[in-house]
Amino acid sequence: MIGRLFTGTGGFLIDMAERAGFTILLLARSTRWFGNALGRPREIASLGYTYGVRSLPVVIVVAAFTGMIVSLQTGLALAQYGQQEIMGSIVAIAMCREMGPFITGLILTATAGSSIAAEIGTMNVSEEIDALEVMSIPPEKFLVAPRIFTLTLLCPTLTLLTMLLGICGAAVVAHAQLGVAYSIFFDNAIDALRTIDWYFGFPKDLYTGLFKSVVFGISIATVACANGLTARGGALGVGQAARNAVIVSFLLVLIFGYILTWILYR
Amino acid sequence: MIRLEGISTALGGRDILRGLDLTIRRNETYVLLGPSGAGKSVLLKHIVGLIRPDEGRITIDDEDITHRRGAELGSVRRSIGYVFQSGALINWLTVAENIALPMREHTDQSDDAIETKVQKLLDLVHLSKDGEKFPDEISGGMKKRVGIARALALDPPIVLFDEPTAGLDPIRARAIARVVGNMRESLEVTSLIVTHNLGIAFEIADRIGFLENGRITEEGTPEEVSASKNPFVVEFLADRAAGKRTE
Ligand SMILES: Nc1ncnc2c1ncn2[C@@H]1O[C@H](COP(=O)(O)OP(=O)(O)O)[C@@H](O)[C@H]1O
Ligand SMILES: [Mg+2]
Repeated sequence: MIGRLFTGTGGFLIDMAERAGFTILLLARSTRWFGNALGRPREIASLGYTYGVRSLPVVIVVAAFTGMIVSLQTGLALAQYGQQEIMGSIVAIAMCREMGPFITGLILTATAGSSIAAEIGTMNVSEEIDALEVMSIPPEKFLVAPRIFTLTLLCPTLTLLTMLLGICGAAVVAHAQLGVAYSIFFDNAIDALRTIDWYFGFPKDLYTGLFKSVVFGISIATVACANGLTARGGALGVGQAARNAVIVSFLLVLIFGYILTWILYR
Repeated sequence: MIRLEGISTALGGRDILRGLDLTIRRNETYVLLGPSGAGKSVLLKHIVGLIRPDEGRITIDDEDITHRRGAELGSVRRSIGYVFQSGALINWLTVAENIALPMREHTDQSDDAIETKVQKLLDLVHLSKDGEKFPDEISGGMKKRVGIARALALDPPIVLFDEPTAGLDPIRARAIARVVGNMRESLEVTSLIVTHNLGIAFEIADRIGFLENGRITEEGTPEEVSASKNPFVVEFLADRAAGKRTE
């Protein structure tokens, strides 16, 4: 009984290590095709449109509501001390450093990540990946590199949107619920971002948020492709690949988010 | 020439091929018969290095490819056209783009030259007017024919067909058989065809082989095979004697 538990756990760990290894190797093997992906802007644009448009409604709603919720929570707490005027700074820093990339990462995981895994998984179980290999067209070149490249661009773009919408949503709540004037809110927001380092005319918090989102984009796409490429056994396997991709990417967004915050702000 | 020697392969814990020997001569049309699940597709995949054997040796034109991986297989793979059971088309590319894909990836031909070649291939598989359609918009039989056109795009000296007529109505099956038959007459190709369609098998084969229990248990010209006393072969061919067996 206990023995079986151990072999079971061992098998699980080995399986996980294998998957992680495959995913990292896939990213490494795909990097040499990034130049090739760069040379096919139309395909990148089309992929970006597909995954971006699919995510856009969710991003808009979630970003606005997150901003509103953060605003309301901090606003109510600050109002007890009559400090609601500094809401703008708290919201701006929260959205740029953490919430923006984090929320966008999770949404892209659920939308783009799951659909990439399902798409490539379907190709895998219907022999399309085999067909590419037989035609000596590496899937890394044909499928993986363009998708990593696309999400590397898409994730920061949507993150920027999330930051903006979140801050605007927060401003509306601050104004409507707590009577903070828009001008005061935004002055505070900009001031807060300004107090940290500036690079090239933009605050550090913005850069770190965007840098995080680039890392998230790469990991979401790579994990999704890896799971699609290892899908086995028909429609069931495709579903499982999509689910695995979402779970692993969720975890990576959390873990990388923490590690990057630690590195960038310690 | 394709030569498989003593190939043994286990997949998912089951022995699929057990010491299989098979030689296909240059410019020969070889038809492989056998029950579903016998390992026919697995056998074809060995020839293009998608599956590697546990034991044995695979040579193509005297090149040993048994242990090659990835890019090392490039030159051999480019000399082989593979028609997949399902067509295996890329579904965001049109029919014409699917057929053009190997040429775009592996040759420096101009767009015009590629377009001309694609049209020729479309004509060959009787899909002259369907180049602009997407795989989702065409029937299963048409997908298979597109798969054939794509496999022939680089004029490979070897073509492998995995059940090119399965699931098609008799008329479409005949159309595909005609394409394969024509190829045999007009081009210098070595082809290995997996099929359940005995009528077509006996019509186009130079030689027929039976895959059973992981080996080729019977092999010969259509006449020789018809005269076989092997009970498995006799039973397998019984339906044909009765005059009907499509699919
Ligand atoms: N990649 C694989 N992993 C595990 N089992 C496989 C794999 N490919 C095929 N098989 C098994 O090998 C056997 C032969 O399959 P196949 O060659 O597709 O049969 P067929 O002769 O009908 O083409 C089947 O039992 C199938 O389940
Ligand atoms: Mg098969």
